[in-house]
Amino acid sequence: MTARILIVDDQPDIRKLIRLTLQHLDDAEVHEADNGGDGWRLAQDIKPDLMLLDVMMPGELDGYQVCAKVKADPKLAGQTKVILLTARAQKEDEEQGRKAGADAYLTKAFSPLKLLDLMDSMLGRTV
Amino acid sequence: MNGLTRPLLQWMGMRSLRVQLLSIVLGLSLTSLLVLVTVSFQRTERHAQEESLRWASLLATLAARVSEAPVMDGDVATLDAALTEVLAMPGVNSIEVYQPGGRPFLYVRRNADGQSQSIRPRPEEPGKARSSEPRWDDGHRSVYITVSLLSAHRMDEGRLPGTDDLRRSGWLQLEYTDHTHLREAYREWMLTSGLSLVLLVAALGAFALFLRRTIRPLGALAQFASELAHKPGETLMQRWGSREVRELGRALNWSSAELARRMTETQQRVSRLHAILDTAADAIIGLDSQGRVVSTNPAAERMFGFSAEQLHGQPIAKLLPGVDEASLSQSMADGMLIHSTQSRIGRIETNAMRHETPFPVEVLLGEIANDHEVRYACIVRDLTDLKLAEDYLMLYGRVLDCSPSGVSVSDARRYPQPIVHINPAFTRITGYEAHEVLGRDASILEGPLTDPDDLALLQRTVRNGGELKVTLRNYRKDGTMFHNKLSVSPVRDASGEITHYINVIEDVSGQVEVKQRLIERTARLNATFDLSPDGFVVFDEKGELITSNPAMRNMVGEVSSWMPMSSFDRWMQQLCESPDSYIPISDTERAVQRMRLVLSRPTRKVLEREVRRHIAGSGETFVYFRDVTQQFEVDQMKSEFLATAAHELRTPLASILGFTELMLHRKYSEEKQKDLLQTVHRQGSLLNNLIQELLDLSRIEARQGKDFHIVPTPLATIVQAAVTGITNQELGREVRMEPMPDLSVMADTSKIEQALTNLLSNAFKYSPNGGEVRLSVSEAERNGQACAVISVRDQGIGMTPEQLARAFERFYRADTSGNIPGTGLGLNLVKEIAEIHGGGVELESRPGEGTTARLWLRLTPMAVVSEDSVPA
Repeated sequence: MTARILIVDDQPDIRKLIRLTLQHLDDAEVHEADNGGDGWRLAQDIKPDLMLLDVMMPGELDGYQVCAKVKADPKLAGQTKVILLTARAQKEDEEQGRKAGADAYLTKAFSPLKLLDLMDSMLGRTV
Repeated sequence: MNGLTRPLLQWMGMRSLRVQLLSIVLGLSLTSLLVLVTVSFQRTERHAQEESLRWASLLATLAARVSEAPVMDGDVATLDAALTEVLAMPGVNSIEVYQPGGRPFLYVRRNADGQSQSIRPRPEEPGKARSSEPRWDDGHRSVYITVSLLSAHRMDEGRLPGTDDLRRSGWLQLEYTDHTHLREAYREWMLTSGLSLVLLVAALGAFALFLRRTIRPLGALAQFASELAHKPGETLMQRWGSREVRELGRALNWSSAELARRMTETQQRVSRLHAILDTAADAIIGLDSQGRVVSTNPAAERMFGFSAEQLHGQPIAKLLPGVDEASLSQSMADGMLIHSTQSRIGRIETNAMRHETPFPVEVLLGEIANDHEVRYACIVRDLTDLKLAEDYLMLYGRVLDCSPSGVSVSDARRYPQPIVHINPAFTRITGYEAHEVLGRDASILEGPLTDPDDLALLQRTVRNGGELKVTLRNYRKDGTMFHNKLSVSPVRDASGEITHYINVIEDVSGQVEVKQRLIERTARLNATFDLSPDGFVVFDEKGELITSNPAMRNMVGEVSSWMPMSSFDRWMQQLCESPDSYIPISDTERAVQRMRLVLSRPTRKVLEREVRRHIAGSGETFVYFRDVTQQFEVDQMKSEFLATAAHELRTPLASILGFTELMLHRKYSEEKQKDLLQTVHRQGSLLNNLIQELLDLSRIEARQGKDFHIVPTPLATIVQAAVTGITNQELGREVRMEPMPDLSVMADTSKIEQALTNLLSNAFKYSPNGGEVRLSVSEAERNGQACAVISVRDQGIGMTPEQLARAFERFYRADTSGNIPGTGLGLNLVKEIAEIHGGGVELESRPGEGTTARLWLRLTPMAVVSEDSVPA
C-alpha cells in the first residue's frame, strides 16, 4: 500500500534532503509545501499518512498550528501521523509540540537514516 | 387606812363616772346621816337623862321631906305609907332610908309584877353612905339619888352634903329608872332618822336620774373619741347633755376635722418624704440600735447591689466593712451637735462594698431618739466620682505643671486682664518668674517686632469671646525674640460669662526654622518626584494614597488621591497581563521583594515594583515603580535572538549533515553527487556568512562603536571601494553611479563600506531578473544636521508594507523560497553601523517595483573640513 507523505518546510534544501532520504521507499507518494497555510490545505486534500512539519515557517500558520489543526480534524486525526522538525531544541518547544498533538519531535540537524527508521516504524504500524 | 383606800380607788377607777358619782354621794350622804343620827341620838339620850335626874332629885327631896319626921320618930308605918306613895310615882324603883349614924331604917322597892314591897332591914348592918352625887347605873339605865334627911342640908344650896354629913343626918337613896322620857326621846329620834333616810334615798334617786341624763352623752363622746383615730373627719351630733358635754363634743368635732387635716397633711408629707427618699441619689438607710438595716431607699439598693429584702436585717458591717454598733455610737459621740434640735450628726468616711468591690463613701449619721425601730439614719454618699474628680483635678494640676507648653491664666473680669496663674513652663519659655508677671497683663511679652495686626486680631477675638491660635513674635525677659505659638481660649462660668482666659504659649522658633527647611526640602523632593522617570506612590498609615508623581500617572493612568490601597491594587491588577500573578501591595508578607509587573494596558509596559513600609516610623507605605520595559525588551530580544540564531545556524547544518550522511551511506551518480555537494557548499558558505555577520553584529553591539574610527572621510572614496567590491563579486552586474558631490563625512571607512556593500548586495539579490541598480549621493538635513544621503535603488521584486515593516529585524527575510541566499542580518547590521555614526538608514519599497535604500551620514563640520581637508 502506498504511503502518502507530506513535507512542509520553507527551506528548499531541507525539502530536498527529505525527498532524497525517502527515495528508497518504493511505495511512498511524496508531497511538498513551503509554508503552513499551503501545508494545511494540502493535508486536507490528500489526507497524508505522515506529515513532516517544520515548526518555524513564515506565513499565516506555523508548524504547531498546522499540527494542532490536523489533530483537531476528525477526518485526519486518526490517520495522519505528524513528525515535527525544528531547530528549536528547548524543552518548552518540545512540550508545545506535544500539546499540539505531534507524534514525534525531531531536532535539526537530524540524521536522515534515523528519520527513515522512525518513518518506517510509524508507517509500519499504520499500514 | 392605806390598805383600804387603794382597793377602793381601784374599784372606783373601774366604774363609770355615774357609778362613781353616785357612790361618792351615797357614801357622803350615808356618813352624814350616820353622824346626824348618832349626834341626835346622844343629845336625845342626854336630854332624857337630865330630865330623869331632875325628876329623881325632885322625888328624892320629896321623899326625904316626908321621911324626916317618921325617921326621927321612928314611925315605920307612916314612913312606909309615905314612901309607898312616893314609890307609886312612875320611874321610882326603890327607896332606901338610913337613920343618922348610918343604920338602915327602911327599904322599899317595886318588885317584878309592879307591887311595892317594904323591907325592914336589920339595923346592925350600917349602910355605906356614898356622896350625895347622883350615880348612874348604866346597865339598868337607872340613877341613884342620895339626899340627906336633914332638911337644912337639902336647903343649903350650892353645897352638897359630904359623906360625913349624910352619916350624921341619915340619908335617903332613891333609884329611879326613867322609862317614859327615854322611850319618848327614842321615838322622836327614830322618826327623825327614818325621815332623813327616806329623804336621802329620794334625793339619791333624783341624783341618779340627773346623772344618767348628764353623764351618758359622755359615753357617746368617749365612743366617738375612741373611734376618732379610725374615722378622722367625722362629726358627732350631740344636742343634749350639758354645756360642757356640748363643748366637749364641739372640741371633739374640731379635733376630728383637725386630725383629718393633719393626717392628710402628714400623708402628703410622708409621700413627699418618700418621693425624696426614693429619688435621692444617696443611699438612705435606717439602722436599729444593733446596727442592722431596717429600712432602705432605692438608691441603697443600687449602690450596694442588693434588693431591699436582701438588705433588711443585714448588719451594716456587711455594706460598710468596719462599721459596727460601737463605731456608730463612737462617731455619734464625736459628731456635731446641732443645738436647734439637740441632735447629733456623725460622719464616717470609709469604703463600702458592692459585689466584693470596695468603693469610697461618706456616711452621715443621725440618731433618732424617739423611734423604737430605727435608731440611726445613715446617708451614704458614693464618693467614687468625687474621688475621681479630685484625682483628676490633682492630675490636671500635675499635667499643667509638667506641660511643656507655657500656660498663663488671666482674669477676664478685671482690666487689663491680669495674669493670675502661670505654670513652670511659662517661666522656662519666657524667663519671667511668677512674681514678675502675676498681676500684669500679657503685653509684657510684646516688643518691636510683634505684629500689631496680630495683636489687634487677638484683642478683637478676646473681646468677642472667641478662641484663637496665632503665632506671634514675642520677647523673653532677656529681650530675645521668640516665635510664640499662642492659643487663647475663654473659660466661662455657669451663666456663660467669661471669667478667665487660658493662654497656652509654645516656643516654636525652632519649629519655624525646621518648618522652613521642611518646606524647602519638600519642594526639592516634590521636584524630584515630579521629574523622576520612575513612578512613586505613597500610602498613609490608613492605606490611603496620598501622593503619586507624574511618571506614575504616565505609566498606569490617572490614580486618584485618597484611593485606598486595595483599590489601587485592583487597578494595577487589571492592568496586568496576567492578573493572577499580581501580588497586592497590601499583602505585607509577600509584597516585599522587588517584583516585575507586565502591564498590558494602557500601553504594554514592564514595571519593576518595590515596596517600602513604615518610612521613618510614619506608617506610610512607599511604592516605587521603575519602567524596565526597554531593558526587559532587550533581554527578551537577546534570548529571542539567541534562539533564532541557533535556529538559523542549525538550518544550514541540517542540510550539510543530512546530505553528507546520505552520501556516505548511499551511492549516487556523479552528477547527483555534484549537485548535493554544491548544496552542501552553499549551505556551508551561508553558515560562514551567518557566523561572520553575527560576529560583526555582536562586536558592534558589545563595543557600541568604541572600536569605530570615525574620522572625516571623503564619501566618494568609500562609495568607490564598495561598488568595486560588489561588482567583483557579482560578476556581470554593474552599479550605475550618478554624479556625486564632493562631500566629506564623519565615517569609519571600513564599516561604512561594509554597510554600503550590504545595501548593494541586497539590491542585486532582490532583483534576480537583472534590472538597474543605481547609486546616488545628495545632501540633506536630517534631525537638524547636515547629512550626506546615499541612495541605492533597484528595480527588483520589492516588498509589501508588512515585509518592509520587519525588514530591519534580525534574521527576517522577505524571501522565504530559499532561492535568494541570505542571513537576515544584513540590513540590521547596516542600521547598527549607521546609527553608531549618528546617521541612519531607511527603506522605501513597492512590491514588483523595486526598493530604494537610503543611508545618511553626518557631514564633516566646516571647521574640521577646513583643517584636514584632503583632496578627493
